[in-house]
Amino acid sequence: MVPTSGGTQSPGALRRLNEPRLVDARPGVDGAPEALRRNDRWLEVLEVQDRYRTEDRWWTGEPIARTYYDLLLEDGRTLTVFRDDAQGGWWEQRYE
Amino acid sequence: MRIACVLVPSFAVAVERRSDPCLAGQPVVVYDRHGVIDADAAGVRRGQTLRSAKGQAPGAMFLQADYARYRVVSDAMLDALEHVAPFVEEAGLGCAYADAGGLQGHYNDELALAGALIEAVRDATGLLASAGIASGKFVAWVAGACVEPGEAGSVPAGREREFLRDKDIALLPYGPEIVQRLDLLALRTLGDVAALPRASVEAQFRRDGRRLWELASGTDRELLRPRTRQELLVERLSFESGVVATEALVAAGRQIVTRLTGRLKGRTARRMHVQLLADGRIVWERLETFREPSGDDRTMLLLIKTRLSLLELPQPIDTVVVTLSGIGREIAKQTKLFTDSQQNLDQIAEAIRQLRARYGRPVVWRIEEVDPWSRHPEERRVLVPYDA
Repeated sequence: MVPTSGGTQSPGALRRLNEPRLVDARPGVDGAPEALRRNDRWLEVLEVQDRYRTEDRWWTGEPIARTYYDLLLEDGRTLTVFRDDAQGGWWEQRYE
Repeated sequence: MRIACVLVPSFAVAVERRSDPCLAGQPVVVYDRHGVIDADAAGVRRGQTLRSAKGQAPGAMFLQADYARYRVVSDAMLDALEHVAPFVEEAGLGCAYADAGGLQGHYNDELALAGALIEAVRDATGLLASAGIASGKFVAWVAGACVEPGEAGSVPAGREREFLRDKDIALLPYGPEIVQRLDLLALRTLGDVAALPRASVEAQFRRDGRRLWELASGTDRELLRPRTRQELLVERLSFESGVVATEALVAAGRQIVTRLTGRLKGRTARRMHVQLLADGRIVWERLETFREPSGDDRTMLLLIKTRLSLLELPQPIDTVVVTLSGIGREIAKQTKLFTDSQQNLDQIAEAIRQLRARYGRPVVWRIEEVDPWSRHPEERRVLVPYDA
C-alpha cells in the first residue's frame, strides 16, 4: 500500500480522498476474485468486466504493483478492487 | 440444475477452415506468440512451441491466431444459443454453458434440446458443435467433448459418477503438473480418483484436492453465470473508397465520437473499442479502458489520434467502427456553492469558523489536487480544512 504522507491525523491534517479499503476476497484459479465479503456476507462475482495492472515506483524501496479488477457482484453492484502484488491483500478502490 | 455444454472442437482451426476452403484435407496448426493454441495435426498439442510443432508436423499449414475474428464468431455463437436457451454463459472461445432447465415443454427430450442448440450454432456460424447435457458443468462438458461434432450426449441425474468412471484424467480442468502427478500415482481414469477417500486426495493436492475429487466423482457445484447484457453504443462510418491516410481516419473518428457523446446524453463510458475494417474484415482493432469513466469527446478523440498516428495499415480501410461500453450513470452538474460575492464569502468563512469552534475540529473541507495524473486514485486529491 502507498503509505499515508501525514502520519497520525491531527485536527489540521490533510485527508486523502478515495483511500482504498481492505476487503475480504476469495481468489479463483486464475487469480481473479470469485467472491467478496460485504457486510459479513459473501457475494459471488458474476463477471470480471475488466482487469489491468499498474506498476510504479519500482525504483524505490516501496514499489507499487497492483492488479485491478472491475467486478459485477451477484447483488448487481459493480466494484473495483485490486490485489496488492507488492505486499499482499485485497483492497476496494473507490472513485469519488 | 440441468446444464447444457455446447462446444466447437478445435474452435480456432474450425474458424480458419470455414474461412478458407483451401485448407480442406490439410492438417492445420494455429499459433500465437506463446505457441500452439489449437491444432488438428497429428502429434501437435496445445501449448507446444512453434519450433517443436513444425518439427512434429512439417507438412501442416501454420496460421497465426486471429483472435479478433474468433471473438466475433464466438459472440455470434452465444447470441444464437440465447435464442434457444435464455441463460448462456461463455466458457472460452467456442464453448458455452446454457441452462437446460425449464425447457421441457418446448422439446421432447434433452437430446432434442441439444440438437436445437447445435443447429442454432450451425445456422449462425457455419460451425459444427457438439453438446452434452448433465447436472453440472464439468460432466456436461465431458459429455459434449466425448461425442463427435454434430452429436450430443446426455447424462441422467445420479449417473454422473458411473459416466465418468472410465474417462481419462486429462479431461480434468487442471494443468499438466497435476495431471502428471495423478499419472505418477497410477491414477489414469476419473474413476480411479473418485474411488479414493476424499481426504487422501485433499492431503495430496491440498487446495485443489477437494474440487478435483468432487469433479472426478461427478459433483460440480459451480453455478451457471449467465452473461449479462450490457448497453453498447456503436457508431460506424464508411468511406466510398478505401483510405490509408491517418488524417482521414482521424476525421472519421471525430465525427463518430461526436455522435457517440451525443448519444451518451451526459452519461459516461468506461471502455472504447475502435475497429478498422476492410471488406467486412477487421484489419486493426484496439480496446481502450479509460483511466476514469469519461463522456468527454476530447479524451476519446485524443486516444484515437494517438493510436492511429502510430499505425501502419497493411491495406486501405473502408469502415471505422467505434463502440462505447461500460455505460455509467449521468454526471450530476452541481452549481457553485461559493459565489464570487465578497459578502457571501465572508458569511461562509464566519460560519466555518463557528463550526470549528463548536466541534473543535475542521468540519468543512475543500478538495485540492496534489497529483492529478497519478495512476492511483488515492494520490490524486486530498481534503484540506477549508480555513487552513
